[in-house]
Amino acid sequence: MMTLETETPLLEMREVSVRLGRGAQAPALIENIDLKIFPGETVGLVGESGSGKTTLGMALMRLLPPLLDQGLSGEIFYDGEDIANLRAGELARLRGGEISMILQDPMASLNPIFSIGNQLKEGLRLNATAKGNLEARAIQALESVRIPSPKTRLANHPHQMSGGMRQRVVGAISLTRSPRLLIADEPTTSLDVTIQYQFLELLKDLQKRMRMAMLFITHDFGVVAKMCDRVAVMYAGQIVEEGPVRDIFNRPAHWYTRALLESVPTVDHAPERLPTIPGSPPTITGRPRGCRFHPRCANAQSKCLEPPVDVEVGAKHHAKCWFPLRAQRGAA
Amino acid sequence: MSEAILSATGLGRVFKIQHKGRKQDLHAVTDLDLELHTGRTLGVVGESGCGKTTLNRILLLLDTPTTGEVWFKGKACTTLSGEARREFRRAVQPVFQNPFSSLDPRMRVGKIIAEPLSTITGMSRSDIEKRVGEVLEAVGLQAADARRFPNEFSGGQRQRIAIARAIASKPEVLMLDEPVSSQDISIRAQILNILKDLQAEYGLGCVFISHDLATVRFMADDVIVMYLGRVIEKGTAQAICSTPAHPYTKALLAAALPPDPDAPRPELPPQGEIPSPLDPPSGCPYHTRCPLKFDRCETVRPPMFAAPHGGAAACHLLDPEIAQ
Ligand SMILES: Nc1ncnc2c1ncn2[C@@H]1O[C@H](COP(=O)(O)OP(=O)(O)OP(=O)(O)O)[C@@H](O)[C@H]1O
Ligand SMILES: Nc1ncnc2c1ncn2[C@@H]1O[C@H](COP(=O)(O)OP(=O)(O)OP(=O)(O)O)[C@@H](O)[C@H]1O
Ligand code: SF4
Ligand SMILES: [Mg+2]
Ligand SMILES: [Mg+2]
Repeated sequence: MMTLETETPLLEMREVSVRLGRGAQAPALIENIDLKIFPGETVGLVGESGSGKTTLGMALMRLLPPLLDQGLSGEIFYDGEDIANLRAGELARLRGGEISMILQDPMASLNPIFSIGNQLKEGLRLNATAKGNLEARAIQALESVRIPSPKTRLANHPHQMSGGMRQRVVGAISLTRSPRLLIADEPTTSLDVTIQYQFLELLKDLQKRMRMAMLFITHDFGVVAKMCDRVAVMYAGQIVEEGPVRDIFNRPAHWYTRALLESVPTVDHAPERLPTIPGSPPTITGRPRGCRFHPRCANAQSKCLEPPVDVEVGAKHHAKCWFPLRAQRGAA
Repeated sequence: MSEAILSATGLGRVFKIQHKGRKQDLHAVTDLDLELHTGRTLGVVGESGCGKTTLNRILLLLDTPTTGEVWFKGKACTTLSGEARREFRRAVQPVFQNPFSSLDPRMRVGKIIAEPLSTITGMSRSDIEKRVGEVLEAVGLQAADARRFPNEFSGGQRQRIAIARAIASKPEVLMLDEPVSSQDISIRAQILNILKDLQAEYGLGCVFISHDLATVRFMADDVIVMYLGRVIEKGTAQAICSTPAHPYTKALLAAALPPDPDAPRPELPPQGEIPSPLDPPSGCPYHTRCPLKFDRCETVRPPMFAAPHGGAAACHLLDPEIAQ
């Protein structure tokens, strides 16, 4: 959906870092993150393993483990309030279910000893504004995520359901409190593709109806293309490029973004070889200076040993690169 | 076409399992035929639990089928004796999904890679060392890496080591079970290129197993699509990925999300849950999810019919009598 220039973001991160320890020199899991999420939009956070996606999501939920939470710096505004200075956990108390999360492994969010009916009702009880008896609302919640015969399913325990069904139950639970912001951290990575497809459709549909904002974390560009309005690309703890979804796919400005997009095989043609990025992503203690990507970049020059500034490359589209690409992808 | 180097006829594998306090039969693979030819890559695609790994283990002679036979260079594998079995072990090499569990952490890389060479008699120590260095270089590592241990390498490098081991004995067939599924995106392309280059350079026959149709399209010449233990469609990779005939393959294709925000909505989007292999549907195994099913689908199991793309698919809609 479109966002208006004048609209205030629901969430804004300014210069957010999470370090291993308090010092500014301590290795950073994520570094100087600036990110806005507007009401009702879906922002994709895409990047390879270890780039800091989960850390970013946990930071803005204030759910980092204590050691890392101590290393959190910067400002995080949620609905105008700076939540980076709240005590960890206090956010959950203040904001109730306004910010909700779906994780990769549905079993991590479900309690194996209680029936799913039980767990749904627990969530529903906290939503004081909704009407109707708990049982009926729990059934409704399961219906809303298209679980067949919801009444009998209420008595099921998590292990009695398929992975796809479990993830839908997690969805139902996190939506019981009508969140305004949903953080979905690789919610479909453990699902089969035909089940993933249905879950994504469902999530999109629910989002539209509830008009919630979403931060969608994934490493899959196909999922980003299907789900997101805007995209932030992470590499080695930084957002290296951010822009509207079509710009990111059609005219990526960062060399990393373009190289990564091109290295993914697609069903519609089979080239002789895939374009590749040499080497592998750095660990958090071995991150190169300057542009974090320079040792793997086809265009690296001596200038790249200095940290690049974030440059505007188009409307609401910027990249951290000294030599941003300007051409349409695929054009010579 | 020449004789297949590796083939299977009427393969079935039934696991006896305890379920809800009862002994039950789980049909992991049913009535499966395939042929692998030298110099070609056969893709095996399907969702979790459809029987891909079970098939892989049977083709590697690591598991015995309940019914049917595996053939290697025209010989039935159940009858392979000592010497012939050794030759099979040299000629047919696996690469598994997870290089963290498939490489012994206490062994040096050189020793890991040299292991399949024990199937070849009469190699001297220096021959072995030379070959280890060669294959390390073939996968983009260095001969000196032979002295290091697996934990000194990243996930992508470990998978290269696993590939180096697989090609050390100059095999004729590589069995690849989800070899890039646990790898990071930028590493996947590197590994896929290495595998494709090796395949072409040595004229290997490869079985490439994956749940990802796009990866199969890149790697394979021919493809079989599995659903609940059965092959439901076969054809060239190009045909399967552009003009599939079976509604399930169409659903798989629709679910393979293209990296394009303006991609049109698929015609037949996937629906429904994958049934339990303990309680497979009657008739066509796909009928519980198929948007095109009609009366006979619930009761009669469709045989393989010729498909317009030149391959075949197990769907009643392809029955020439219905088409009229
Ligand atoms: N508690 C911790 N202590 C030290 N380092 C950590 C801790 N948690 C995560 N890290 C490191 O921080 C980096 C970022 O991790 P994070 O989980 O945020 O990445 P990610 O992008 O979510 O990766 P993935 O795609 O694998 O989920 C990684 O290198 C990880 O090893
Ligand atoms: N040793 C075993 N004992 C009992 N059941 C088994 C055994 N091995 C596999 N199965 C069952 O056989 C079926 C096929 O499993 P298999 O591992 O071959 O599937 P797969 O296609 O490789 O799945 P994935 O994509 O998840 O790797 C599954 O239902 C599985 O639970
Ligand atoms: S046989 Fe019937 S149910 Fe099976 S795929 Fe074809 S149309 Fe669908
Ligand atoms: Mg993560
Ligand atoms: Mg498997």
